[in-house]
Formats: sequence, C-alpha cells, structure tokens
Amino acid sequence: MSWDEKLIKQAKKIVKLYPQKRSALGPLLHLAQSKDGYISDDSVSVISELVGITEVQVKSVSTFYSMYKQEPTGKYLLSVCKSISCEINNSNSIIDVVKDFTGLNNNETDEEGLFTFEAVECIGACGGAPAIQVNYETVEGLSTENTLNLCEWLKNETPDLVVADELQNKFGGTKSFDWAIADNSGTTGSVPGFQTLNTTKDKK
Amino acid sequence: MSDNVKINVNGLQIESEPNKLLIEACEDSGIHIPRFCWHKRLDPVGMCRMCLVEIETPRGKMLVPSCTTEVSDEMVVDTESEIVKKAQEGVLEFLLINHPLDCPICDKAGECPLQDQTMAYGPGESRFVEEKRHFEKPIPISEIILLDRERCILCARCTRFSDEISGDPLIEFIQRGNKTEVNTFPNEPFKSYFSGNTVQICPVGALTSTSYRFKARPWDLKSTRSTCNGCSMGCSVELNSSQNKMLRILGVDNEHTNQGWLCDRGRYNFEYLNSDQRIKAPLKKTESDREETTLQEVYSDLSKIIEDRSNKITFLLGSNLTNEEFTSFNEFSNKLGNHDNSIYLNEDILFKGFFDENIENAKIEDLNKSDAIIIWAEDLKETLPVLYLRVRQAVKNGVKLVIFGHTNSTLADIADVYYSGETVSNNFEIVKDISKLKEIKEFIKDKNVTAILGKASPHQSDQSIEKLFTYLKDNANLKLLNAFNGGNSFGAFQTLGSVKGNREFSSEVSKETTDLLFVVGADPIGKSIFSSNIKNIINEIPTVVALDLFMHETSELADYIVPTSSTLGEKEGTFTNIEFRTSRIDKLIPSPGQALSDWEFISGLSNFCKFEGMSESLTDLNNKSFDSFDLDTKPTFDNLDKPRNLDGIINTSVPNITTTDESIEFSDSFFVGKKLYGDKVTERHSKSISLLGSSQFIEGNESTFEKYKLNSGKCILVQENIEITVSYKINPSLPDGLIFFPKNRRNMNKLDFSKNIQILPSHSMEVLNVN
Amino acid sequence: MKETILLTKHMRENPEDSHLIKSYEKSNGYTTAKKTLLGSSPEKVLEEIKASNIRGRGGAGFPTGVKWGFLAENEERYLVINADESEPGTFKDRILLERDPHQLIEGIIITCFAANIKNAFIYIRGEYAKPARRVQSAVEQAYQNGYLGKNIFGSEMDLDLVVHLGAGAYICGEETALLNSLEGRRGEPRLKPPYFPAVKGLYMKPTLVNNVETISSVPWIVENTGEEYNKLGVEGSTGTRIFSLSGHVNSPGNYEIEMGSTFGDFVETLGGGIRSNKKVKAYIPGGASAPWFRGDQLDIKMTIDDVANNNSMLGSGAVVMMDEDTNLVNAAKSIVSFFAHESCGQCTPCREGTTWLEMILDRVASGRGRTSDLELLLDICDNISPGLSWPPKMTTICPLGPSAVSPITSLMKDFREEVESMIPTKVLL
Ligand SMILES: Cc1cc2nc3c(=O)[nH]c(=O)nc-3n(C[C@H](O)[C@H](O)[C@H](O)COP(=O)(O)O)c2cc1C
Ligand code: SF4
Ligand code: SF4
Ligand code: SF4
Ligand code: FES
Ligand code: FES
Repeated sequence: MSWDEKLIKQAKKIVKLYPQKRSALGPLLHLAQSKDGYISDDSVSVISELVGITEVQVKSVSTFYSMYKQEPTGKYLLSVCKSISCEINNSNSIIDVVKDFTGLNNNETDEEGLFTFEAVECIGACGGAPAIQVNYETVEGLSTENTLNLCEWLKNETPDLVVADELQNKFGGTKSFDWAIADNSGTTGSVPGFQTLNTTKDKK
Repeated sequence: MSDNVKINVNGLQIESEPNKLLIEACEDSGIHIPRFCWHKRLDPVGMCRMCLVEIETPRGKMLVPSCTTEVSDEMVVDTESEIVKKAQEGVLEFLLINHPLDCPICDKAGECPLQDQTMAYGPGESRFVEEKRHFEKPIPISEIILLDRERCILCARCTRFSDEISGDPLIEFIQRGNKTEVNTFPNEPFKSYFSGNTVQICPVGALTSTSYRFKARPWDLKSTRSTCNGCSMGCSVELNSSQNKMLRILGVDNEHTNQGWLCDRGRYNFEYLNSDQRIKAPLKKTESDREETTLQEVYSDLSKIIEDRSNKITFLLGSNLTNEEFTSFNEFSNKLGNHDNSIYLNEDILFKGFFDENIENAKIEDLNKSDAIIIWAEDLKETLPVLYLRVRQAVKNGVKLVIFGHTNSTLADIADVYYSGETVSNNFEIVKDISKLKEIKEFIKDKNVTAILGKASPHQSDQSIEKLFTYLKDNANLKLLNAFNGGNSFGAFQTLGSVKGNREFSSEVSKETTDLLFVVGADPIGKSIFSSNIKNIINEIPTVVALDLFMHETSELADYIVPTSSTLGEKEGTFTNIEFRTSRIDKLIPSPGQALSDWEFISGLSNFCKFEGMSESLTDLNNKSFDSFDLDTKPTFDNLDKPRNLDGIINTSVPNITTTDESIEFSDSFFVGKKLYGDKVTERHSKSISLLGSSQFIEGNESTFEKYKLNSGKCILVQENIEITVSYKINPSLPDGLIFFPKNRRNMNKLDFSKNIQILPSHSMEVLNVN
Repeated sequence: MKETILLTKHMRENPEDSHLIKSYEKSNGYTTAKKTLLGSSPEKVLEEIKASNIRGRGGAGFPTGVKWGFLAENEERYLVINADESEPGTFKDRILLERDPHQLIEGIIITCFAANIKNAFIYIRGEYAKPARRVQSAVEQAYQNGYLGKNIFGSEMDLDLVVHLGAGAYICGEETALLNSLEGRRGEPRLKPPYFPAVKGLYMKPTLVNNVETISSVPWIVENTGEEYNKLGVEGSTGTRIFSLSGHVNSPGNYEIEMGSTFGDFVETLGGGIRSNKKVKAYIPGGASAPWFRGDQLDIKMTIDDVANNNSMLGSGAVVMMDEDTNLVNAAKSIVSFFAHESCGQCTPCREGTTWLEMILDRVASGRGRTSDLELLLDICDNISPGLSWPPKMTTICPLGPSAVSPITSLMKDFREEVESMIPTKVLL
C-alpha cells in the first residue's frame, strides 16, 4: 500500500463511521483526491482493499462523480458556474476572463500545475450570480474585473489555504444571502475543506 | 403456492403465477415484449426502457417497464398501444444514434437483438445529424474477450452477470450519463472463469470472443444440442459448426443444471477438434519408431492376443466416454471372461462415496430449496464450476452455507461458516468433536440440508469424510451430492457395474496381471499423481493399445495407437451428471481421418474375434446401458428426444465403486488438486485457452512461504534429481504449513507427493545473493 | 408583502454567531427536543407533524406526516437528510446549513425520536464545503453537550449522526440515488417499486429521507403545535417556505414567506423589482426542472397547487426571473445541458435524448439550426415524456429525463418565434 500510515489511519477512522464499509467509499475517494490532486490508480487499489470491493468497482464509482478528478489538478481548481441564473447574468464573460488569464480550456490544467479551469453546473450561489468556486470555496457577485483580480491574486500570493470569506471580501459582490460573521476556515487543496477529511484549517 | 392471477393483455385474458414479472407472464402466454436489458437469470434493472407497456391505474394509464412490474390480479395491460409503439421506436432511435452500424463486420449480425428489433419495431430513417460517440475499436479485456464500446448499448447484462452470478465484478460501468462506457480496470483484465457468458448474453456485438471473431455468420451455422462433458455438471450446450468445423459452444438454459451458463473451459475448450495434431490414422510401434497401419491390421494383431485365452486383458478408461462406450467396454470385458474387475477409471480421487438406498441423492435444484448447504470437497470453482454458480445462487436466495477447509476458499467469502485451520488439520481430518461445533449445529439440526461431499485432496482419508457424513445424516434431513467431478464418471459408475481408480490401478496392475492393456482417452502418466508408478506398469506390460485423440505422455508409450472421435461433437451417445441426470451427447461434425468412436472400435474388434451376442449398434448399446431402469425413466435415445426430456432424465441407481480403503500417504505439508485450466493435451491444442493453464505455481499462506525464505516470486521444487521452477502464490485461506500443488499443471506429474519435496528460493535470487 | 419569520428567526437575531451552540441555546435552542424526549411520545410528535400539513420542501411536496407514517417497522431504521441541494436556482438549504445548523440537528433529534431511529446521516453536496464545515462543527458540539450519542438529554434515546459529503452529482438529490451514493455506489436512482425508501432504503432497511428545510421546520412545529403551523399559508401549502429568488431582479436572495401571494407581488416587493425596470419575458417558478411561465403570468399564486394547475411546479422553491432581453434559446440550452451533464445514464431516453437535445439546441443557438429541428426537438421530448403533458408521463426511471423537456416545451409553446428567428433561412429544408 502506498498510502502512508497516517492516511491509512484516517481512512480506517472514516470506515468506522458507517454501518457498512462500502459507505466510506465516497469519503475515501475525497481523501485520495486530497493526497494527489486526483484519483490515482494506486489510490484505487488501496481503497479497494480498505472497503473490500474490486478496483474496477472503485473506478466505476469514482468516475461517476464530477468532483473526483481522473487527471491531476492544479493547486487551484477554478470552477465557474454556467447554470441558468449565472448564464443569464453573463457567466460567459467570467468564463472568458478565466480562460484568457489561464490560457486553459474546460477541464485543463496548466503546465506549472497552478490552475485547473472548469465550467460547472450550479453551485448554489444563484442569488449572487455569476459565481465561482476556488477549491470549492465560493465567491459570489463577480464582475469581470474582480475575476481577473482574483486570478492575479491567486497567482501572486499562492495561498496554501483558500478561504471563502477572505476571497468574497476581496473580490466578491452581491451575495445570495447575508453571510453574517466572517469565517476564517478554508480549504487546503482541490477537495472540499472538511474536518473529517483533514482538509480544512483556520486562517490566523 | 397461492392461486394464479388473471390479467388482461391486449384484450386477452391470461393467467400467471402471482409475483411474476409482466414480461415473463406475457412471454409464457406467447405475447412477446421487446427487451434488451432484461434477462431471465439476472435481477431486473429496467434500464433500456424497451419493454415499456401501458397499464391501467386509478390515475389513468401509465407507462411502466414490464421487466420490473409484477403482475397483479385483474391487471389490464396494453403492449401495443400507440404510446407504447412510439416509446419503443423512440428507444430504438436513441440506441441507434450512437451505434456505429457496422453490421457488415460484426460477429453478432444475423442474431443481434438490436438488429432484429430495429427491423421489427424501429423507426425508418435516422434523424441524427450530429457527431457520434467514439471509442477506440475493440480492445482486448482478457486473453479471450474483446470489447467494442461503440457497439455497447449499456444494458448492464455483463456487469450484472459478473457481479450477481459469477461474483467477480471485474467489468463495470465507467463515467456517467452520455459518457458511460463499460470497461475493466487498467492492468486488471476480465479474468473470470465465466467471462464467456457475458459474450453470449451481450445483446449486441460489443463483447466478442477471440475464438469466434470473424469466423462465421449465423446463417451459415449448423447447430445441435448436446451436453458438455468437461466435468460432471453436464451443462446443456448448443454446438455450432460451419464447413465441418466446430466454431462455437453456447450455453442452453437448462433449468435443472446450468441455467444457461457455462464455464469458460467448457465453452472454449473445443478448438483442439480442428487441430492438425489430431491422430488421423492407426499407428503401430516398430523397432525404432511408429508407422501407419490399418484398422484391420490392428484388429488382426490384437485378436491373436485375445484368442489366447490365457492372456489377461485390462482396461484403463478416461471419464470422457459416453455411457454407451462404457457399456461397450463392459460388454467386451465380460465377453473376455477371464477376470472381472479389469476396468479402471482414470481418476485419482476415487473412493466409494456415499451411495446406498438409505441416502437420498440430491438434485442440483435442491440447493435452492434447502436450509443449509454443507461443502467438503475439492474446490468446486475449479472442478465443477457451474455447480459453484448454483451454490452462489442458493446463498443469494438466503440458504446458509457451511464450508470445511481448505479448498473452497472463494465460496468461503460468502459462507456463513468456514471451518479452517483450527477445525481441519493439514491432513484433512476434523480435529474437533463435530457435535460440539456450535455453528454447524445451529444451521443443520432438523433442517433440510444438502451436502456436497467428496475428497478435498487424494490423501484425505475415507474415515474423515465419513465422520462428517454420519454427523449430518444423524442430525439433519440430508440430501447429498457426491462430488466426483471427472466428466462422465457418474455414467461410468452406473454402466460399468463396478469401477476402481488410478490408485488401485497402480497397486494392482502389473505384467503378471495384464498381458494386454487398453488405455482409452486417458493420459495418467501426464496428469495422475500416480504417474511414475503407472509409467513403470505401462512400460512392462507386453502390449498396450491407446485409443486417443492426440499423442501424449501415455499414448507415446503404446504399441498401437488408434485415432478416436471426440465426445465433443464427433459422436452420439448419452452422458450422466452428478445428480444422475442423463442427457444427450450429439454429433455435429465428422471425425478427422480414420478416427472412429471407441465403441465402433470395440465393435469392430469383437466382430474380428467373432464374439457373439455383442451389441450391434449404438441404439443397442444405449438400450443396454439402462437395462435395469424403469421403462419410463429409461434414458434411451427415443425417450431423450421427446421434447419434455430434452433437459435429461434423472435416474438413481446405486453404483458400486470398489476402491481400496488404504490412505495415500502424503507429507503433512502438501495437498494436491486441480485448477480449472491445466495443460491437458486438449487444452494445449485449444489456442484461446492454452495460455490460461500454462503457468506453474504452488500456493500457501504468507507465513508458510516466509518459513521457506522465499522472496523473489519464484521458487524451485527439488525432489531427487528433479528440479522444477515455479512461482508461488499467496493464498491467505490456507492454514499454516500447507502447500497446494495444482496437479493438472505442467511438470507436476513428475513429483511424488508421498516423499519429501524441498522448496528452495529460486536460483536467480541465489545468484543475486552471491553477487 | 412581508416575510414571516420562523426558520430564519434565530439567524436573523444573532447574525454574529447563530451557528454556534451557545447562541442557539440562548434562543431556547434544544429545549423543544429535550422536552419532547423527556415528556412526549413518538405518536404525539407524529400527530403534530400530521396536523401541521407540512409538505416536503425537497421538490416533490409529499406530505411529511404521511411519509413518516409509511416507515416500515424494523429493528434498524435510518434517517437521511437530503442536503444535496443542486437544482439550479436553489440556495435555500445552504443558508439553513450555514447559518443555523443546530436547528436542523434539533429537528433530526425530534424526528428520530418520533420514528425510533438510532442512526442518521446528513448528505451534503460536496461543493458545499463551508456549509458542511459548519454542520460538522455543530454536530461535534452537540455530541459534546450530550445532545447526540448515548442517552440524549439523559433519556433512553441513543442517536448517531454522520455528516456525509457528496462529490458532484445532481442526481444524488433524488432520494434513491442518494441512498445508493451513501452506500458507496454510483448515484443511480433505484426502481420504485420495489425500492421505496420507507420500506427498502439505506442498506435495504426502512429509511426516511427528508429535505433540510423540512426537518428544520420540525422544532417550530413541535414547539408551537401543528395547528398553529397549519394556520400559516393556505390550504395545501401550509406554513412558511424559503424561496430562493435569482435572475434579473434587484434584490435576489432567500425569502421566508407564507405561501399564497402572487409571483408578481413577490418580485415587486421583496425582490425589489426587475433590474433597470425591464419587463419579465419568462420566469421559472420552481427550479430548473419546472416549465416556465410567461411574463404575463405573474399573477399566478405561489402555492403548490396553483402552480401545478398552471402546468408547472413549485419544486424546490427557486424562482428565476428572465427579463425582456434574455436570449431564451441560450437559457433553454443552459438548462438542457445541465440535465444532460447530470443524467446518470441508466435509461436510454434520458442518456441519449438529453445529449441529443443539447446538441441540437447548440446548433440552433449558434445559427446552424434547420427548420426541421423544431419538430425534431419536440419529438425527442415526446419520446422522453410521451404526450408532453403535465404532470409528465415518463419513459424513464426518474423525473430527471423529463425535466430536460420542460424548457424546450416552454420555449416551443410560448416563444416559438424566437427560436425560428435563429434558424438561418438559407438552410431551410
Ligand atoms: C432529479 C431530482 C433531484 C432532486 N434533488 C433534490 C435535492 O437536491 N434536495 C432535496 O431535498 N430533494 C431533492 N429531490 C427530491 C427527493 O427525491 C425527495 O423527494 C426529497 O428529498 C424528500 O424530502 P422532502 O419530503 O422533505 O421534500 C430531487 C428529486 C429528483 C427527482
Ligand atoms: S457490453 Fe454488451 S452486455 Fe455489456 S453493457 Fe454493453 S451491450 Fe450490455
Ligand atoms: S461446468 Fe463442467 S459441464 Fe459445465 S461447462 Fe464447465 S466443464 Fe462443462
Ligand atoms: S431519468 Fe436519467 S437520471 Fe433518471 S434514472 Fe434515468 S438516466 Fe438516470
Ligand atoms: S446557477 Fe450559478 S450558482 Fe446557481
Ligand atoms: S427490458 Fe425492461 S427496461 Fe430493459
């Protein structure tokens, strides 16, 4: 097994949360994503042993869900919404800005491994359309200008922790609802920042 | 059974068992509903949507898939309404928009449900002007199977088969929505013993067999129904040939036995029939070599030996003969009259089994009806593969499964209890008091139990298995399948009167007891664990006649070699399976050269010897085989050809296996068994599967191999002046210290398991160490 | 019109820390659950829920009390909270998760008490990272305070609650697909019959699946009685509901209102009207799956039944306004492309049909349409949803396929000229 002991331990802890092992498959795939930035064949083998199913069964599940990436992603996964509320609020122009800045087409990653760009379906920020997620941290009420600023900032600052509230304050606009108190928790990779996955930290 | 329900279909009243699926109920009444994903033997998924029908509900008419809807009383169904027809056309059009339409180069064309249903229910012109979905054209997903994803209609039959039925889900849906494809994991091929079934049930030409690819068109095929003789399961098959060549074997859905499935060896081990290595003319040994001769000359030479009444004649028969052929040898041997019990069966694991009037023989379908199944036998998956599937099916239906070690480790995964190391010694003795084994008691006490019992390894003592048998018989309502697995063994038991095996052959037969030996369809020197003994015996017997398809280690040594027809497609006869079900063996293709059936040879020889009162024809032999049977259960050709008997006729007479009781001594550390694929001569000459049984290995658990300090993946087996390099495979289900040898793999016959075998790290490692 | 504040009360009054347990407790949080567990009975709770006449807020609008009543007897039963909110236009569950997770947990405790359930899951869509973090923290706090785990509030009741993250698949909002997903399988909807969750749900055991908003309403109902709740709103659409308003409005957002006023009123008052005072060309009354209404249909009442009577649905409560300048072909294409992308791929008509529709719309939108495409679009729709009637007939397993039909039939019925105008005359066939 090529997952280190720490990761295996965490994986086993997750398996224990469920009445049946196989239920842990989803979270374990998130773990795999956090480890390599995509679901490697190697991780598939490790997971198949952990939950007791064949490798192709793991692959079958992992390829069903769009958040499990089959190719390595960059440090920042830029997911611009293209669904209806964003579409009628010019999400196309946001997409163009991101494409121009990164030089990427849909589902591509740059050579430096900095950015991956994808146009995605509704991310539940329709009241703040158009919207984007950076590593699943939401920014709402984008303008083309601020989108460019956001990209540049990421490129220059290359923060290890991406925090929705920080990005929203710097680059966002109209919100879907009042976010109220500022929250300084964020995400450490191209996977949702979540306690159980050990992928979240608080910004000091 | 509750009462039948009445439903109205297209204005017609039909009756059906309750809880039947609508599509089946309609089918039973002759109303065909088109379908792709539904398959009688798989759980319904309702995915293709081809079988939609309209039913009346309190909220008006509703479109429902007939393959997932159960009938209910008074149900009103329309399978032909305008809406239904439109939906069917729609589904077909949807399926075709991304279909490559390469029928002209597709193996399935002519017997393709997609093609047929498009003709019957499809729209006319395609309105699809966009770019079709593209995939790389056929990719090999195993040594024997190719996958063309462009042709796949995503019916999930293959994926369900491998998950539900064979239990090795190595083929799956990848991606979702419009990007969905079927595939295997990179570097993890579709390595299943049952993969060929997916080719058969794939409703399009997406899954194809390398063996059949581009070989023929359905309309050129000749076909007949027969029985597979690869093991004692006796699966019903359809043989397909074209231009006198066997091209394909399909499973026939026999409710009682294989339910449509075959193992891959049964399905693909036919290519040898067309091999140019087949013996085509009789051969006679000369001083230095062999030369072609004629049958008449063979008859003449042999008759001289036979006519000298002081000469003793012995038979060693392979278990792949037909019942009629066994009868013919029996008749011949009786005619010789000089000594009975001169017939041996080429089987290593033969013991008297559990046959007597007081033991109820189980039928295969009893597995499904029992409360528990108890197995202690050679690995079913390796030796009776489709019986293994039937056990899986029973477990899926809720039957409890108890397994005794150390062989059935794949089934152990789904077993309720697996008694391994602590309960069963490395010598295959139950070392605990069976009546104190809590779990088994709970499952069997006063319950309906089907046991599958046989020796797990040739060195297992008769007593150890009798102990389990007695316990089961005393405590449960027991039915039993004797787990002999060699081809038509059960036919031999029934027709030969009494049989003995290789063990008895090697201890009883010598030049003192035998002047003339017939070895028929058997290669004990190549494949028996008594190989070296048997070789010595054969070498010293003055005259040895081999009747066979090929030259092999045994026929090599014969003085006369007579080419024979294969039981697979080259002769007629009957076969009797593990539950004593007798069914038809049929002929489809001619035999090569001068090859003839074994019974024809015996008949010719008898005539030459002017023996009187011998059966003259196959029909006579067939009648004679079942002389003692009740008239209405007599599996005569006439009876078997009646439509209601196509699936075979069961008759249990009590066979007589006269084996000696002495155990074979093995070292505590060894046991031997068979793998499904080996390198038998027929397998070597069947190209598609020849590689599958070619690797040489031993199995043991991790700590066992650690003790031998193995670490390079390879090791050397050393015995006297023999050295064999094999790989070793970790099999965690084996107890500490026990090592498994697959006896049907190459070179294993060279080892004598009663003596010590050294297991050493392979040379390459030693060389490395020296460096 | 004004909002009626029940579910969003605590978060509005405590913007700084509404998600923390201390704050929730200060607003009398968990007292209802405690009272119930120590002093009430499952039957009593079920009665209140039935009396409230609340209907599910996930989209299907099934009466919650009836659903709970269907739950089959079994040793093992499960509750799964559907927090997969992915219907374009919808962001109401997000606020409940992010801003008031304890209200949901309290609802879960009461629900599990009523249904005798010991294991509950919250299935949150993977993209909702921040909401999931908030919920996870809240769950941890609740465990610490003894509100989850063994002997809750010192009662006999045990309850374990796991927050499970999805991974990007809208179809997992469909309850049976969600259960497959939670079992570690592909998120493919199951066949109904026989796999009704209330009978054969998670691990084939009886399972309640309810939406976040539905269960977040439970504490209020139990505290204030079902009768009180039933007085709010109108018959058939009782209580309050959080609507997500988006599109070309001045004040998009979540609004908690009693059902019964008109869409026009809603948009004009709470929504602040259409931007730049433009006219409404069309609007979506209940999420991307719902057939559209025209701009001249703003007087339809916002109730489940009124919307249904006008051949659409209130669905997930997502209202999307499209002004007079909207390119409706592009809008339809966006929605169809959403469903094509999210189709699980099991059913032939949905898998093949949605993508085909998307391809044709793409051609039409980019000026490469053919006249014959109009009829073709409708006929493909008809093969997914025969008769194009409402509620839709289906040739598919679940309603996702037929949902893709909604924008096209809307477009063809009410805006055909706009589509025709995009077909270049020179390739007229
Ligand atoms: C395609 C599809 C998507 C759905 N998505 C959601 C969803 O995101 N959230 C939700 O609560 N219900 C969703 N539903 C409805 C659920 O199937 C189910 O009816 C609901 O979770 C039941 O909860 P309720 O009774 O509290 O509304 C969806 C249904 C379909 C057919
Ligand atoms: S390969 Fe054949 S059996 Fe398998 S899903 Fe495709 S069409 Fe069906
Ligand atoms: S299980 Fe036995 S009888 Fe059946 S196909 Fe395989 S070898 Fe032939
Ligand atoms: S309608 Fe679409 S999403 Fe629903 S089950 Fe069928 S293919 Fe899957
Ligand atoms: S439509 Fe873009 S966030 Fe919902
Ligand atoms: S045969 Fe019924 S849906 Fe495929």
